Amino acid sequence: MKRREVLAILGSSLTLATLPAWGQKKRIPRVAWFSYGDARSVEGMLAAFTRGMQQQGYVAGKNVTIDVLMGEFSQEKTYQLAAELVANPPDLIVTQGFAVRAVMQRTRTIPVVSGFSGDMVEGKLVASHARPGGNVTGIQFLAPELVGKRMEMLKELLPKLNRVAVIADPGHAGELLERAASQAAADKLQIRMDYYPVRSLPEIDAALESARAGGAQALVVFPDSVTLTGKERIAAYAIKHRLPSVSGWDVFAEAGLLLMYGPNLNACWSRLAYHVDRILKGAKPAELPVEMPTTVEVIVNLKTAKALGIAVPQSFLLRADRVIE
Amino acid sequence: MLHRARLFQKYAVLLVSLVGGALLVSGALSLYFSYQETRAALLVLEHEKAQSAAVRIDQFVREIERQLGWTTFPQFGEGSSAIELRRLDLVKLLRQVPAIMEASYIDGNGLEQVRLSRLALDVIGASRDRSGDASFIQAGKSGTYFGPVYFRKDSEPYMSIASRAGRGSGVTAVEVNLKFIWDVITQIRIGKTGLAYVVDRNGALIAHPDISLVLRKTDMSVLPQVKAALSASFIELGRSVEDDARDSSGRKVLTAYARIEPLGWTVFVEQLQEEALAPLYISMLRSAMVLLAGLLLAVLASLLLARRLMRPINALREGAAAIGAGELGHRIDLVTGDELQELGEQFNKMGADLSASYSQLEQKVQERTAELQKEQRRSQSLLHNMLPVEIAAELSLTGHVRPVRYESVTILFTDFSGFTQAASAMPADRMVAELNEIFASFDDITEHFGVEKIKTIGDAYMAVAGLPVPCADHAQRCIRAGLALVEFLDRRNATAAFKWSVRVGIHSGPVVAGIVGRKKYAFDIWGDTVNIASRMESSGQVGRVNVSAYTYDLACNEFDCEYRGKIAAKGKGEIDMYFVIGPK
Repeated sequence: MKRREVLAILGSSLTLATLPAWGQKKRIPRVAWFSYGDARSVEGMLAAFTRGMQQQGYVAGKNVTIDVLMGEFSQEKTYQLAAELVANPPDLIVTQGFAVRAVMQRTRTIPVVSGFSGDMVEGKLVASHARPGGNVTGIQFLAPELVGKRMEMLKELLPKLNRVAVIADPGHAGELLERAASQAAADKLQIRMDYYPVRSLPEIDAALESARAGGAQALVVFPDSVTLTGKERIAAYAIKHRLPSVSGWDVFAEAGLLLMYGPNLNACWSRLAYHVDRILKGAKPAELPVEMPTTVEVIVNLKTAKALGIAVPQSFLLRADRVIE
Repeated sequence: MLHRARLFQKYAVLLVSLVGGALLVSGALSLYFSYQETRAALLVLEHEKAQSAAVRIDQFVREIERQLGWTTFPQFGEGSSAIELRRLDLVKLLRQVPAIMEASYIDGNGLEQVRLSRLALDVIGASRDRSGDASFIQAGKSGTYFGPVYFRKDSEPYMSIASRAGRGSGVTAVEVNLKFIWDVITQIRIGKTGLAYVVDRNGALIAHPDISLVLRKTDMSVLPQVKAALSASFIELGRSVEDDARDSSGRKVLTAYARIEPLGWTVFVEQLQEEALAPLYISMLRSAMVLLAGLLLAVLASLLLARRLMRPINALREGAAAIGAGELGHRIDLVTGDELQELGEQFNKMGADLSASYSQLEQKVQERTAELQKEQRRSQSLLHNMLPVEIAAELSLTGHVRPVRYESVTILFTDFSGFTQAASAMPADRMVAELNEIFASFDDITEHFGVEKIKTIGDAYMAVAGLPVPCADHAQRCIRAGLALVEFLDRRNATAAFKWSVRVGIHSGPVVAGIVGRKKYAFDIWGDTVNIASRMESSGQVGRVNVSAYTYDLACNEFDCEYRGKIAAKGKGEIDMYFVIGPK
């Protein structure tokens, strides 16, 4: 086994540049993917990340092992897995959302590369974007900024809008910030915002019911593990009850939500592999700046719009990067 | 061996310095020129890359500027419709240019009419006075305004760009995310390590393939080449010739740069010296190997040459040494077919000549020595004939002989009777021959009995015993000799034609012996004893041995004698005399 490895490495990378590294890299680095959600909820992210790793030259099982740990939407289990991770530490932990907090409670030494909805400085994950200073770095998804824009887009499309329901998992990291930001935006836009927490998939239906009952004219769905898992349900309910909806990840629009405004998450998750690569090659997370997406996309699902009977004006479509018909 | 080592060293030094020097000089020259050429070519390439990057970044900015252009056209109509049109313009602008994060329209009075952002909520209607903004003041003064680079969230590089349509009209101002330049920069590659980066007029990093360096707000002005480029005048744009150019991790690089006007930015293209000069290092290594091989060859060649030269030289040296040591028969056997062989042959010839002349000399010396020895022997025997051995020895040793007195010696005299008659009857030469023959026999007889012949006086014969070496039986020796002389003549007379008769007289006593004169040395004795001995002869009888009483006294124990009585001796009175009859 070992000899084959050596031969494979020799055969594939007999260059001066890689030879010194070869001596140090006899051991295959172990990367742990750690999520609060379940396999379904992270499918897309994990696939994007794996793609990113491949672009960086890593093939799972060959020159890197990627262990996948899932909290299955259980805080208890997530904490337990974090403890197990720290007891048998991998070279690096890739994580997101709530799981970041669980890991950070346990270790300040194992490098952590994280995707994060909110601002990592405000979320106290890093000391500064330029120099994180600790064991955590990664990409932040601009959620607090974008949540206001989403509401603004709804308002632009529906000028009479004055009441929205926020569907969100309160356990999601940065959720508080996101909620505060959306509240501030709502105030500015003179919209009343109601908050409907969903801690797990089964709670979604009830939350949607209450929202509709509460008089919501539109849905603002925070992108998190729970809503991600229940996106089809939310979309179906929204169409059925003629509720325009907006969220932050493209999969939501693809699932049938009316609008999407947010970064290209696939690109972001792929980009995380860059951080992983740098750290595996010796960079310190403390010195690796937190990145932010450079592009933010607008997706309009015209199919849903049609179903809802909403005529999307040309001026609005101008800004759409993608239109689903 | 030592000498050979020395010769070898000389050859080695000569050849090594010749070969090594030639190789070194040619290697160094070719290296120097290829270094200069490689370096120059690389710098040209880097400069071109930097220029093309600069052009593309300039285009990127110009494109934004161009896009801003049409948003600044004056709008016709007033109020909300005009603002809505502005808003739509900005929406299009944002759609058109992804790098713009925020766009705003400021009217001629400096009031912000519309502000659209990708992140923050849009603002519509004159809500903010931006007449004091640099974007508003500077735009249009000299074309488009390009603000300084600033960092959002203290990490992401941004820049303001503003454009005004005409005097007193509104301004479109945008905030541009400079991370978009990254795409331009990452496309530039030279070799494996070559890369490009952009710094602003203060040396702050704007774009770099390693985005984390940008996000960390790396100050590049600490690098020598950046510092030099930033302070360089606009005229001497271009190549950085900083020898100590470094990259951000301190490794040596070859670098060139190009300015982006009017932003005041600089694009640097660099490549690790290590990589850029790798072919050079390889050729350096090659030269070193050639040099090493050349030196080795030179050493080998000098060793070979020394050996080849040393063998004949050694043979010559040994041959010369042998000849010098006298071994003249030694021959040097050299077949090299060159001057050395000639030299060897000359050595051989010299040895042969030497040997010949030496043997001639030897023979001559031997001849001369033999002659000398012969001569010496002759003179020695002559001397001995003239002188007693001891006296001759003393004479040849000291050059003279002291007269010595001997207390007791015996003197023998003989004289032929009737000699005068015989001499007159016989021819003189016959006489001399007779005398010579008889005296020669006398010499033999006296010598035989240990009696020293002194001289002959005419026909008289005088001898002495007891000197120069004293002895106890000198009287007996003389008597024996006297008897033998008589007997000899008797025997001779029996056959000889001429008959001789002899008187013998013997006397003992003291004498003085010595040599007188300077020429024709003659050993002689003096004293009364000599006279008495002579009287003993003249008083004797023919065929008899007449001895004095003194002699008788000494020898009577050995010989029977007949007392003759007191007989008058001429001038000496009467002396007791005895005839010797014979041994007892």
